[in-house]
Amino acid sequence: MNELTHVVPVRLPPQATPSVRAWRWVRQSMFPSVGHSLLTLLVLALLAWCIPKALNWLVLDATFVGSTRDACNPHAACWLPVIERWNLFVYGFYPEAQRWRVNLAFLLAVGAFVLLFFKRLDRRALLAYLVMLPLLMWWLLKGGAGLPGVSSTQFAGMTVTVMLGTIGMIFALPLGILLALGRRSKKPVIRLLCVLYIELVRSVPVISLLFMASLMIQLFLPPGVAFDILLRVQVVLILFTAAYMAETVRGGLQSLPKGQYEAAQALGFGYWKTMGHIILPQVLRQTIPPLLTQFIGLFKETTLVMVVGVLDIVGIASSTAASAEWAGHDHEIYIFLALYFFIICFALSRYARHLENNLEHDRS
Amino acid sequence: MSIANHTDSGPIVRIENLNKWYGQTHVLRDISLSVAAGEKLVICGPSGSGKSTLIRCINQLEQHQQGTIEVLGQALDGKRLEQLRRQVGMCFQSFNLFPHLTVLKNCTLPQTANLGVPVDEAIERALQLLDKVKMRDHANKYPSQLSGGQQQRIAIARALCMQPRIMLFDEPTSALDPEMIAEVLEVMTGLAEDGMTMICVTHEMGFARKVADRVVFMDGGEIIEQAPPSEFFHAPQSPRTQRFLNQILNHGAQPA
Repeated sequence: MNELTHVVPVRLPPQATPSVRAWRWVRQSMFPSVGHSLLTLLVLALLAWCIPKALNWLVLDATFVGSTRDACNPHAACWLPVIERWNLFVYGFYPEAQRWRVNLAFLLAVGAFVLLFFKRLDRRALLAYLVMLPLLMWWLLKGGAGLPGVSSTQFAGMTVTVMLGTIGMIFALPLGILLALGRRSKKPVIRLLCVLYIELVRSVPVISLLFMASLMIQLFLPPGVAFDILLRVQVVLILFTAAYMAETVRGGLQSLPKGQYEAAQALGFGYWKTMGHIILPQVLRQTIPPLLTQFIGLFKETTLVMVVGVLDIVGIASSTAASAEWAGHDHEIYIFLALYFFIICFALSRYARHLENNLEHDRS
Repeated sequence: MSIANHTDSGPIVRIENLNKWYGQTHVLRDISLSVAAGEKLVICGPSGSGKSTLIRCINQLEQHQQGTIEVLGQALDGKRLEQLRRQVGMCFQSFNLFPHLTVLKNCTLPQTANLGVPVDEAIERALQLLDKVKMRDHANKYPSQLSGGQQQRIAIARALCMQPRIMLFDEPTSALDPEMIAEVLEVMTGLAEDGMTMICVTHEMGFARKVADRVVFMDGGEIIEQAPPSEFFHAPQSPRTQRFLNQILNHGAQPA
């Protein structure tokens, strides 16, 4: 309305030269006081002592080429168990001729994150992809309908981890949303059921749920009916994660101003339309970062399936470390394992951070 | 554009012996009020007098415990609320635009989702009404990019997109900076001139004087006095009204 446009000349803040700035940074962050300076020197000395040693052991003197344990350098790391058994780590006992299916499933899973990266993508396309992904992955990996079936006992290694993680996340989220809505429902029966479920699952360790799935479900089924073990642990992971996600989503629902609900009501939106058009789009955008954090948690929890006899990547690692062929190289194997989880989880957490920044940017 | 072309002759809103409690607190006491088609009502009163609660009862954002409310000849019984609310527009003190949607989408989504209006028709109507509140140029912005006064004008356009029979305003200018109050009041005045039935809870006495057909004064959950503005401002009957007018008029509310 106001047409006053007074042009103010631009003035930039004073700039120091790069060398001055570097010197200032060193002084401020490393030597601000005598105590800090001593600590800095101590840490630098420690790093100078251990980095070369670690580097020598891990990389420079380490063995990368060879096929048996005799090729290993006894005074440094020997990466042969990982390299020689790489296919076992990745594909488990998956039939060699069918491995393209695993590769394709991996690619599809990564594709979901690539798609989420594009902000301006049509929401429906993304949603359709996310709905199709678990079904496609399950079909690709387990077979059926044109593809030769693969038994669950042949599943191991990264295949198990990635499959349980991705499918778990995609099914857990909608279930978690429904539970969160149910917990805030005005209908007492629905609310009570949701609260009971959420609190029950949250107060039981996932490991005991997995035991229940592997041992107890069989008791309730008629003899002869076998429920695929992979499917059982998958369902447990979904149900478990959903309870936690419900609490995250509930937090988002509560943080939304009451005026949003009222405005929607005043415009004649019913319950599901209010949720679908107005409330959930806002809440989910806010809760993407914490939900991704939960995905990281789920991803790491998949390792627990080992206790019920599903060989995930940790299972492969321990059996490799225990094998006569590679006994004594457990350091290298477990370092590799740590690195594998670190890379994936760190990437996911950076990704969550990126989304968070994007959202903050959107709101300002 | 004439929005109010009613065929039924009865009052748009008829309230009889309305009582409401929050827990043990009696917030509305024996309210009876009737609003005719095309009438402009201003409700004023000290804070906590129940005026917002009263208009929120009319579109059932608040439920009452006793008495009857009839809107467009239909008694409110807690059923078919969505249909009712689609005919009753409302503007809030805090605008309550949907921050994840553009201005245009804010105006079209309620039409397409709740009235089943085809998209291009909804857009056309939205642009027409945004034009009316002088916000057409901002149609593709997000609410957070706009000032409070601009957001409130969009909220009015959004409510009008539903083609309501009556508009409720719940302190629409209370959250605004002084220089933005005028632009919102201007839109509301224009709406009144178009013949819209309006109930406004507001402290803007200048607006009440200029636009209202009737001013209702509430205190302690009761209607103390109601009169046309000329009478209300020059010869208030109740001492409580006199005290209230004294306080509010001596504190910078501009005379019309």
